[in-house]
Amino acid sequence: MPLQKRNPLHKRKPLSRIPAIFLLTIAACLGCHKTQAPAKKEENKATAVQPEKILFLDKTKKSGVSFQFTSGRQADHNSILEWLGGGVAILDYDNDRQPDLLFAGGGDFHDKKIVGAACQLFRHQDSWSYQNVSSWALRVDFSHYNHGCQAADYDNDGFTDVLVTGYGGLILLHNQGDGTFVETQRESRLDDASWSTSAAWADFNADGNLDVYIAHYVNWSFENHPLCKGFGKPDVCPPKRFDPLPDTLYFSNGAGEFQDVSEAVGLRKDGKGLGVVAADLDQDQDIDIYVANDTTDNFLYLNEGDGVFKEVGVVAGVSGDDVGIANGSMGVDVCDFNQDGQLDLWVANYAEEPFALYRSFGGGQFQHVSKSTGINALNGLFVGFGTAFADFDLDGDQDVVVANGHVMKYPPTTNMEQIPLLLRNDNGRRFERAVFEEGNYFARAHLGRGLAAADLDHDGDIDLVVSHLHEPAALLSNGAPAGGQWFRVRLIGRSSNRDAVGAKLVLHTSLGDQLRTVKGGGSYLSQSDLRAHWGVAQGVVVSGLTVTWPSGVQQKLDPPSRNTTTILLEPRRNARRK
Amino acid sequence: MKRKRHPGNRPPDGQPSQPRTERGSKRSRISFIVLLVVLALGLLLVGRYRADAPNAFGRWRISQRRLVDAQWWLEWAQRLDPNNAETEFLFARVARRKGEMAEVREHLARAAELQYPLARVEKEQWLAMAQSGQLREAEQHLASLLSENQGDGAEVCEAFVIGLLRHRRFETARELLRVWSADLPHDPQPFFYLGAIEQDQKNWDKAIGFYEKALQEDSKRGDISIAIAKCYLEKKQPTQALEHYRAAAMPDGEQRVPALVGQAHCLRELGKSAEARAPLQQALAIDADDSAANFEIAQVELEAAEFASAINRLAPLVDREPRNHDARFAYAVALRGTGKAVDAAKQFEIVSRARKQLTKATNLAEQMESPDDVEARHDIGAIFLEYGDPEEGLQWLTSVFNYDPNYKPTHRVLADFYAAKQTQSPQCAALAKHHRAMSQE
Repeated sequence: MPLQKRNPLHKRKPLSRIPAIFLLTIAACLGCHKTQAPAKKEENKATAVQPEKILFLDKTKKSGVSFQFTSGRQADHNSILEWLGGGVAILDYDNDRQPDLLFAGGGDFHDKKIVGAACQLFRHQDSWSYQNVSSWALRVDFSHYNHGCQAADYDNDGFTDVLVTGYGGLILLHNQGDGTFVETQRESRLDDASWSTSAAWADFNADGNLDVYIAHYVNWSFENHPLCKGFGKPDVCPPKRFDPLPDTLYFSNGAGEFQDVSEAVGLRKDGKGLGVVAADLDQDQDIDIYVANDTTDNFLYLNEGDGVFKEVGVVAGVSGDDVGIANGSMGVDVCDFNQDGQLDLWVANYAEEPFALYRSFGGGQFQHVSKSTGINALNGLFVGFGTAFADFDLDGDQDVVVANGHVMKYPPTTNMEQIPLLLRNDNGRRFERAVFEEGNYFARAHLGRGLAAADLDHDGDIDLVVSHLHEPAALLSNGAPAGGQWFRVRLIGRSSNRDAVGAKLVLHTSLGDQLRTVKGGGSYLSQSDLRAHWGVAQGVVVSGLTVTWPSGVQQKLDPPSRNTTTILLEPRRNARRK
Repeated sequence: MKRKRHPGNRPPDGQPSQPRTERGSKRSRISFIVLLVVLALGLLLVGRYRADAPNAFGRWRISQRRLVDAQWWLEWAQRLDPNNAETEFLFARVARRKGEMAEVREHLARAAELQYPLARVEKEQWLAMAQSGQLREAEQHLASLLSENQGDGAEVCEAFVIGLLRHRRFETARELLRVWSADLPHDPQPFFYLGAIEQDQKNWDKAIGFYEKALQEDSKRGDISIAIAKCYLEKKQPTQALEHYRAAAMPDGEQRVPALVGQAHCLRELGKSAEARAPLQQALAIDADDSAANFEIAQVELEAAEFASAINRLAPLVDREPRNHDARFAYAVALRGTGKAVDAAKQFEIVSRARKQLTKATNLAEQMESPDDVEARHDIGAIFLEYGDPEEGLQWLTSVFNYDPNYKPTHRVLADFYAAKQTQSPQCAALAKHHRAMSQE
């Protein structure tokens, strides 16, 4: 979230003041110059003329989900805290096989005291119908300003829990199995009080228990709150005005307690983390970590086994843009966009910086391919946050959505509210920006932040939930073109962690293999559905499914049933130890 | 009655075409004209005015901002008359336009030796000072420079505008540009600078508007089309940028190489890397050593996994321009692609360190609260000197002495910098000695 692009040639301060005689000489010839107010910028319009077939109908009003993130902007502090926004988790907290929604609440300012706003839980009742069950399901004191919510069954008890991140501390919402949550961060020794943003659950040390990586941002506080300006008016300070806060990694002992191992595993301390995703990025059967940092190099931690990491972002080619300059990175995801069997990386960046698509060559080596894949030709400047790869049009390759919105009140190059993007994957070669008809959610500007994806209405295509700043959250129903078939698999680990985070699933089709992974983290402050989903074009034959569990167990299976969800239980075996 | 001859018609065979006496008279006239031309050419080539014509062409091309052409005419003038004061003066002006201030000093000194009017030499020196940002010294002469400009009003305005832009004094620069534009309404240059100011402020649309006004006044200015293209690239609109780069790539234009490279860059932004090769090969046919063209084509090769070829292009580029961090990063990617992981890691590390330092310098500059913070100025200058543009580093470092002429750390850095170059020129040796002495006082 950089507020100004860094260019040493364009940022020099005056070396000296010009004496009055100079000004007088010129003033003698002319009257005073009036400064013009900044004009409304040109919209980031797409150039294509064919409206998109996918509609993404806004179902928010019908759904009964009435939620707006509390940012505290009315206090007019222009604090960087109030511009991060919040995320959303899609989870099935009551095991009724229906996706429920949990929104991070945010917070407010009482003078200069920072107070939390409660997270809100919405239970799925019927198609596009939800009930707010927060008052009795969340028996929690949300005293911290909260941003992120990461859902996972950390204690392998069969019920999905949630980690809430934010300013001042973590809240671990333990699912009691009776439809209620209680906070257990003290008992669990998740005592991290630093300003946290996104998090990723995964089993980094391969002991069958979910550990958690927590990204931290900057050392802002009201004691460190400089006055910054944009267009001569007070505005939010850029992250470069603050020092980075080191991220933390907690290992679980499997008995509900965590241990901070950040030092022991070799985490860097110079990142300003906003996004994190965990997956086996170098295909060596352990879970690696990629961290999207704001204005500092992004980190790639390759797991060297047993949860010891080596940070190789620069050498791997994923620390910044195509010439190695650090970007303002926010949202992040993994995918196999070109279906070569390797997991690629995707990062949503700041306005003047193109979104980054890093193609994997295997072995933890990547190349920035945003230019060659058309990502640089979006015809607009976007500040990207929540993002998700999925096969939205069920044509057999993964597309990507990005929720956009600026971080300045008076941005110099584009508007504060921005339209979201759907980039359609053209057979793994290029991405084309989809154009939506006027009035569609994707044709209107928003201050987008958290975004999560799941098939909310069980019609086989992937829907979206987006959390905004200064605007209610939106539930968007995907109207994918009819005709495509889909497959969905839910994995339940036994030797592996129960959510099977880290598993790889390859659907074998007559058009080639389609790789999915159950990833930890991803997007921005948000949690998407953990179930693997494939779209397959009509006429394409599916010949089988190979699942590689986090434990290392590999299963070769017949094709799963199409247009339904298949549940797979991990074959029994002791947890793999490396 | 004389028969009127129809032009182009030969007379009928056997008949005299014209009376003999008339034919002889015409021959005499032709001979006389030829003699006059020969005499005039002789005077031009060997007389005291022999350099005047190429000088006039040179001056004309300078006014049109065709500096390569101007240089060509002046070099011809110098061949005809190696001791022509006007030629030296115009060489100084070309050097000033290019920002080569050491050359300016050298040529002006030579012009003065050759008895060029001292007042004009002095004025050019003031313009050089203004342009290089030494406004305190130059500003006291602005009024006289403007009132007695001898047709050089635009030169005066431009030098001061450049100086003001160096100091980011945009409002003052705008005032001066309005004066300039009012006096010379058809001069594209004020609009060009107004566009540059808006571009710096990231007001891309306003910048494009000013550049287009400038282009209306001189549609052949490739540099203006390129400036517009760059704005569109900043707006992430490579299709529009490509059109303007194409407009700038006129066959005989001075901007042909950068315009061709720009085209290739746009094509790459559009995901058409294969198409980017053609303009790059054209650019390299004109200038095989052009850094930007070599960098772009290496990027195309990297995208196509032609790592060995990219290494062949990038290795000499990195040797030639060790501070070209983009090229070095691409070089590292190419090395990695060929399996030279250790060599690649070294190059990545160099780039990473430099980028971090330059970011630090930029942050220091943005957060400098007081202009007399000499420590910050010193740190910024030292970083740019080592990792970035040395010229920019020198500007920051010398600015320290405006606030503390005896600041020893800066004298020390400058002493080391010039000592490393002292074999290149006596001036560097003298500067090294001066700063060493100051650092030890």
